[in-house]
Amino acid sequence: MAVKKLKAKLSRLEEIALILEGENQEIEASIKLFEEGMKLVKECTGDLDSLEGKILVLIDGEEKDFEGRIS
Amino acid sequence: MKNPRILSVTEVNQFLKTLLESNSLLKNLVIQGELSNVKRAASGHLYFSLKDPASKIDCVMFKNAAMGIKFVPKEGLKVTLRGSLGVYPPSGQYQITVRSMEPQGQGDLYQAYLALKGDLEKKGYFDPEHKKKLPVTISRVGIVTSPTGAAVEDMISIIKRRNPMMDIVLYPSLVQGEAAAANIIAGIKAFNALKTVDVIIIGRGGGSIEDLWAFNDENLARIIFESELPIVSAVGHEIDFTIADFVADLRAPTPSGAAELVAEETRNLIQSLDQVKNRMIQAMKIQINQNREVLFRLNKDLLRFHPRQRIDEIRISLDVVQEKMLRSMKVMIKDNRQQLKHLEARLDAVNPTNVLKRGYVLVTDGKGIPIGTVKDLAPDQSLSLRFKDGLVSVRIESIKEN
Repeated sequence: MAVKKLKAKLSRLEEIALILEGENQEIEASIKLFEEGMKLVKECTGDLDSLEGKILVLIDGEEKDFEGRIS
Repeated sequence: MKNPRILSVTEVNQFLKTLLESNSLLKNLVIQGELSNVKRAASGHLYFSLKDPASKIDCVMFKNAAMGIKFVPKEGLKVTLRGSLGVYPPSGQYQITVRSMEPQGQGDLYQAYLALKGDLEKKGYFDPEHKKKLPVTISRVGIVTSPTGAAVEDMISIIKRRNPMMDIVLYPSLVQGEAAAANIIAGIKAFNALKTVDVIIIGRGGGSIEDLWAFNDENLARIIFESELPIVSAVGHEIDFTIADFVADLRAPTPSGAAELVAEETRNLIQSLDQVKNRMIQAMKIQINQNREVLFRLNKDLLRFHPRQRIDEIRISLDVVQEKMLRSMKVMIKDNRQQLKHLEARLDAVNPTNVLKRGYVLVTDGKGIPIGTVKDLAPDQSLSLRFKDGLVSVRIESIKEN
């Protein structure tokens, strides 16, 4: 899920960059978009740093936390 | 010669049965030939003929024995059978009761593998149009493999390294031996029942063809084919191909390869994040500069039309005018001064005091007005006489007009 959300944010960022790169932008609107973009960048960076996937085992039709080492 | 004993049909068949079935050679028959007329009964028993170019012999393989066959027994396949010859009394036919069947030659398993492969290929199991695409974004991966061994360790560490955000759900399974195929099937079914993962990896590390045999199971092939979740097959090494590899939606050369296929590098995400950030900053800079340029231009325009500019111009022309005025004033003053001197000289020439110096006297009335005629005078009137060196007041005694 985490990656999907992250990707959604990334595609919004892509959108913002495209608008900002366009011709004839109102500076006020651009600044607003830019602020939104920078906020998203910060969020994404945080997500990338902090989100940690889990290792689970599927036993008896249920996902359970995997405890102990694999080897 | 005694009359021969008359036997019943049943007695003859029974006799033959006893005779043949007691023969030690026929009891442990190893026989080679080509399969023909293969039929699987609903009961699970397998009926077929074994033939060579000259003759044929009927065979039966009962369900228990038939279940041990590790390939698809099909028409024309050359096999080696082990079994015993027996007689079926109701029909009087002899047949081989087969205990085991192996494909002929050295690569027996390989032959069986080829046979099943050909069979499934014909059924369309490998057709590209049945291959499911891996989702663009994979957040959770299910792995059906042995919980022990290098393969699972490699996969987990590669996934964790490439995408630490990914969830890994492990279905611990046997990957070789009799129960392995059924185990793997159960794993695929369990993941399909839950649908909590985006993709399933089935696989194991390298080994001999016998070790990998579970992945050539026909039932497993069917379950892979029917799976709603996409399946990546990763069995053995690059050079090992199994039926599972062909049916799966994607074949990875190794378990590590499978891990790389499903776990996209978050480094790429970080990179695209950086890129998009820089693009935004760049675009913003450009916009700000553009605005700054416009501002600069407008400011210049404004300055050009600033009133001070006019004032300065006026001030300058004022100076010019002033200068001009001053200059002409000076000229005028100089001219006047000259004229004054001139007049002074002329005036000096007619100055009456000069006349007085020569002995004349100027007569004025009491108010200082010169008297030029006697007609204005009356006796007793006071007059003032100006000499060159003073004034004298006199009174008129008498007037005598000429």
